Amino acid sequence: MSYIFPKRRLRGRDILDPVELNQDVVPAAENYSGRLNPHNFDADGSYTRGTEAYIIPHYVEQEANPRFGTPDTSWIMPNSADTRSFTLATDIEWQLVDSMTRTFTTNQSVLWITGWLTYIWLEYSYNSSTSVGTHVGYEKGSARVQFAIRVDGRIIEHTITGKNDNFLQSYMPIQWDDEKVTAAVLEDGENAFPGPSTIRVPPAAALGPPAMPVRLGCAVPVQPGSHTVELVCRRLGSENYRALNWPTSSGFTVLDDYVTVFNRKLLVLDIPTNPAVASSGTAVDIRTFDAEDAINATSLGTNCVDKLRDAHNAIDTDAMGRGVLNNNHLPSAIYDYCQVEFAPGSIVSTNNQYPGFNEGTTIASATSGPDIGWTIVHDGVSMTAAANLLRSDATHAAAFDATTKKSFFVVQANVRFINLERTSSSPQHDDPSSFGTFALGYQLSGSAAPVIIESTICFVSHHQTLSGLTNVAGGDIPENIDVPLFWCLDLTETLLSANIDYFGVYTAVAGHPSGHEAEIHWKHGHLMVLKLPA
Amino acid sequence: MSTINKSLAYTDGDTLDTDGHNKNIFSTDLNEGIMSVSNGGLDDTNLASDFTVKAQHVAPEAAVRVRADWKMETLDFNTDSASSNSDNISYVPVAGTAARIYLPYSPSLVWWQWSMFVTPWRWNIYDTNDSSTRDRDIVVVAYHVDPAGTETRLSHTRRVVPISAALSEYGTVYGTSNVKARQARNSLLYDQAHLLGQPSAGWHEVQVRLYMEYYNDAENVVPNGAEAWPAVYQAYLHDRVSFGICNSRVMSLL
Repeated sequence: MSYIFPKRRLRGRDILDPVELNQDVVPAAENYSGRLNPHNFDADGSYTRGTEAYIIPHYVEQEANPRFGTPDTSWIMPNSADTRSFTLATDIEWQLVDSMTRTFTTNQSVLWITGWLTYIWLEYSYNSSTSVGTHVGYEKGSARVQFAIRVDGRIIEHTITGKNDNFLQSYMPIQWDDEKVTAAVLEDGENAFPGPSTIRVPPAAALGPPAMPVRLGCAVPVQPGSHTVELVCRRLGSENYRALNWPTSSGFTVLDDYVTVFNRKLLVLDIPTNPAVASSGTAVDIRTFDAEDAINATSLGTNCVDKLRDAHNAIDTDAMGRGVLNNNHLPSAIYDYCQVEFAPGSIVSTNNQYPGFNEGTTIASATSGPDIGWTIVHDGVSMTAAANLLRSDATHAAAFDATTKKSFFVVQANVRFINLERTSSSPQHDDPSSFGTFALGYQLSGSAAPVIIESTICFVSHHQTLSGLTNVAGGDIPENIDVPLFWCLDLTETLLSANIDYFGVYTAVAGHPSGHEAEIHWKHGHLMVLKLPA
Repeated sequence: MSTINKSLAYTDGDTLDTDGHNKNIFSTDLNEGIMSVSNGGLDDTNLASDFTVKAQHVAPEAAVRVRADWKMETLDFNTDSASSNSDNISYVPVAGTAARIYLPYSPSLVWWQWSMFVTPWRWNIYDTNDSSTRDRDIVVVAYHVDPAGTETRLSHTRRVVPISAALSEYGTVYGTSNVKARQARNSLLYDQAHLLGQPSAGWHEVQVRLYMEYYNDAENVVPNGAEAWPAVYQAYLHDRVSFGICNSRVMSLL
């Protein structure tokens, strides 16, 4: 309520008038009982008590292993044998990425939604006699997958990982020197003339690489009530996309091919914007005075002034009005954070080998070798000094508290994956069976080594197989994919036994046939860690 | 400390101390008076021991503020229009990737995140005469613009757009086709983020920009590259980057 002042100052020879006496105390009682507002509170106060209600996290994750095997038992090509994996139907219908759904009740809120997954277009094969790997989409194909966020059954269109027109044909960006020669024909055989013409090429309205991690998200306002947020996917399956055109003795065929999703996660941060008042309020009940009432220590002190003072010295949660506290009153909405902006001077590489999905404690100690184990993403100068690593202690030397405050960690990273190449004595640039892996890891205080977080393991492959498609063009064309990583650590219920020294980004090569070592290359990167109050 | 202290303890049989009573109600001294302290003097010491700040107590957008923007339409950028032969550092903003936010105060942190679907046609040209290859740079990178209009390049966001087409220049070696397109295979999503700690109050923006190296090559190309065609014709080659659905979001945290 507004500022309040006494109506009069009691003097020594005044007659005690019950109305005036009531006017000494009633405004303060009304103030408290009518919900206190920002005017009542010191703007420089530090309201550190209680549980903040800024952000409410809802998180789900699912692991799935593409089962490359381990270096010890020789690599095999990825497959969907793990029943936790999810294979997309190729029917252009939106479908839920299995288990990626959360239902919860909100106030009037904004939902900050992030989905993450790693997919592989399967159907790889490897010929051990020729030491050459192949893939069903080796010639022209693209994975043609789209992902999106769905809220309450409605696709959030601006999260779709593609174009708004799935059948929009692209064009080859060339301009004929002479537009009107009769020989210039379009793809369908029609003459290009008269006038300017372009060569139309197949649609490119969905994600194409055969193996890639994907992170997508949005911020969506919602009304109070129950909401369901889902990570959904679809595979574009029209003939335009599916005509892989491998010639056989019987002509061209449309091949069976499948895209499978492995590790995946969905995070929703519910950020209340205008929450409803969830309490019934509270009041301070004081003794007021009528004519002829006795004035004594109990009536004026204990039951009146003292009661008001006590109420203002121990303000009840429900005595505060809606939206009372502003940025000057409230504690920070973040406990801790860090960011690493990683920009090595040159391209960095390693041929260290992926130790296997469940081998999260096998860490490589050398930059290359090949060693078996995860390699910290480094700048090529040092793989031990924090300043040279894509690791949180590059900018945040102190350990993250994970033992005292209930909280929620959001860890995100990006790595500029440049390319994979086979490095044997006779490199086969067009062999698509080389894979690269990335993952997040962390080290607890007091531990001797970091641990790779299995649910963050994701895969990329060598898919720039252009040299076999032209007569002579060089095959060492880089993939140039941005690799996103994502993880949440929920400490809202249970704390860890030790603090976290650092979070880091790790990599390795995988799946290449024995005797044909591969090398993975990277450059720029980014790592951010947020520790939010819970 | 704003604990309201007792200036007068009312005692039966005593004459009422009017000054003490007045101070119990309103006082110009600190920590006295039930009216005066509650006129903006209450603080966390006045809260009950079991007090909890609930969502309803937080003023709208006082602690966390979110803004978002997006675009649905496909935008094509071609080297013959988006690049410049006189300005080699010409960066073009990409619509739908910018998130702008007004900060009424300096928060602890601002978290930007943006997604963009990129489907490029970037040539790799092979010269059969000298076995050399060449391609032109295409780069996306984000910039931060502060309230004073100062731009900062966020180097960690720099990404090279992949090559997606190959051309063998017509030479002594020639087959049924000399153009191969892998645009669909190289269609990607970039989802990147940037944090800004304790920025000043005012308008802030992060936007993605595109750089395409200028060139003006005339090459011999089979008009219908996918099929055997007996003739080749001269054509000017360009690179193209198409941006599909993009969205950007930003969150400020007190």
